[in-house]
Amino acid sequence: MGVDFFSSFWLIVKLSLAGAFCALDRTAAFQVMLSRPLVAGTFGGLLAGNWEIGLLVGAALELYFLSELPVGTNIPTDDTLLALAAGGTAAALRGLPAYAKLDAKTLALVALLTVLPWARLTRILDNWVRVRNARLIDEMETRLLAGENSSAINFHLHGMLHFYGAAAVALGVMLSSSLLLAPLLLFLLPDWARPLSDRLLLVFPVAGIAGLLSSMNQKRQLAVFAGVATVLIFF
Amino acid sequence: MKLRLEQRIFLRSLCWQTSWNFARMQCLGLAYAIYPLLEKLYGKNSEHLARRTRRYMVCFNTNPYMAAAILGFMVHMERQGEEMGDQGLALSGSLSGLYGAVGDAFFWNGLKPMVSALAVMLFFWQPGFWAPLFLLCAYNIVHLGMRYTIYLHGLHRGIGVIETINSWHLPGFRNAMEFVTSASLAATAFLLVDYFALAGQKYRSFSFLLLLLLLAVMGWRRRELGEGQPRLGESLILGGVAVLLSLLFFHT
Repeated sequence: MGVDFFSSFWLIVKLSLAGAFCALDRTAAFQVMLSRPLVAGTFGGLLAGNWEIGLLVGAALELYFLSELPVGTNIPTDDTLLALAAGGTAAALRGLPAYAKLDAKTLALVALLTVLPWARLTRILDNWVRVRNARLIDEMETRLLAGENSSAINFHLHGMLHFYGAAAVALGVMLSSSLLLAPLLLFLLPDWARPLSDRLLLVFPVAGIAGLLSSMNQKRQLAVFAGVATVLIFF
Repeated sequence: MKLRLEQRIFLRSLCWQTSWNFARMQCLGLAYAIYPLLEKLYGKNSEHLARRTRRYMVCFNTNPYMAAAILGFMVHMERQGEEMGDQGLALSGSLSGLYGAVGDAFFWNGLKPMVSALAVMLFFWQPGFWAPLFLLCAYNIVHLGMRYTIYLHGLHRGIGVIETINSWHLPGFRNAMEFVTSASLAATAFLLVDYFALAGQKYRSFSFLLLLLLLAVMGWRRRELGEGQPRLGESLILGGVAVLLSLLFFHT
């Protein structure tokens, strides 16, 4: 019923190593939004053989953590890693004959439910990287004092290895657990709950919209939301 | 193709937060970005170069995009001599706070939610590869365009970059972007009714109202909890009740 050992292992290795590059965009380099769940989920799905379901996972997750801002020293939940792992898991399940007839939304929901409990791990690892990076200052200063200027300045780039390593480890852990748990969850899902499960995915965009609206400072923006919603009701 | 010094500095600034840490935050990013200039100016004397590089390893934190303006300004000052470079460094402390606030409000609170909300709306309207493509293109045209422009302004006009950025009225744009975000979120909520087949055509409005009610409850709970992370269990229970009601009463 589940994904076989060798293909799961290969998928975990492939997604961890390639997905961690995508995760670098979040803080370490460029920040050109390759790390947004919509993009990362699609990438995770693509690596596991089905980008459409990865895109669905990404779209569901895109707004969910958006109201957590990386302001000052605040470290928000790493939704990039969650999207990569959930997108990869959903796509891997989609490729199995046992789940071929299941709605994509159900698979996306199950993938997200098995991955989201790891949200805290992503913050812990991100925190660890930033603590570890502080040592680079001492290492760089020691080299500068020794007169090795060119090699010293490149210590800055060692931070990228820290971010990459942490992301790859987190992805490996999340994928391993979700590839084990997702088939179990699908097995336990009773038939009468199937119509509910493929619609329950809407909780993620709805919670995301609610989070964004609650974080808006001005009442005028809420008025715009209410106005557009009213127009659409009569549309 | 050989890049000019200014271009090399800008490209290095794209890795501004690679070694972000709690001790001195973006200090190594600043030193790494400006190093080619220091090497050009003081490269003949290794000890002097090391001393000058260490001078730039000060505690520094700002919005990573707006950092381009401060970097441009610092390059402008350092080119005029060590004393001016030190003055630029002293002033950059105030600028980092100012542009941290301006950049976070514009990019994290304005542009990112707006582009994300529009991309998600596009997805639920017409699912396809073009939703992430739109997100990447729309965000980066503004982000990279602004990042490079403010860098050039800092480089050529020095402290005059403050006037340039001030003349762009970014807080006003941010407010406008929040209106677009609100409107697209409302449209997304409406599209969710059809996408998740919550109701037949006849009961579409009722289903949408139910969804808005769910949104209001979730939003109220989030406000009560402060700006913490979303609660998965609570969201699932609320959503489950709403979906069940929708299926029982409105689905045809």
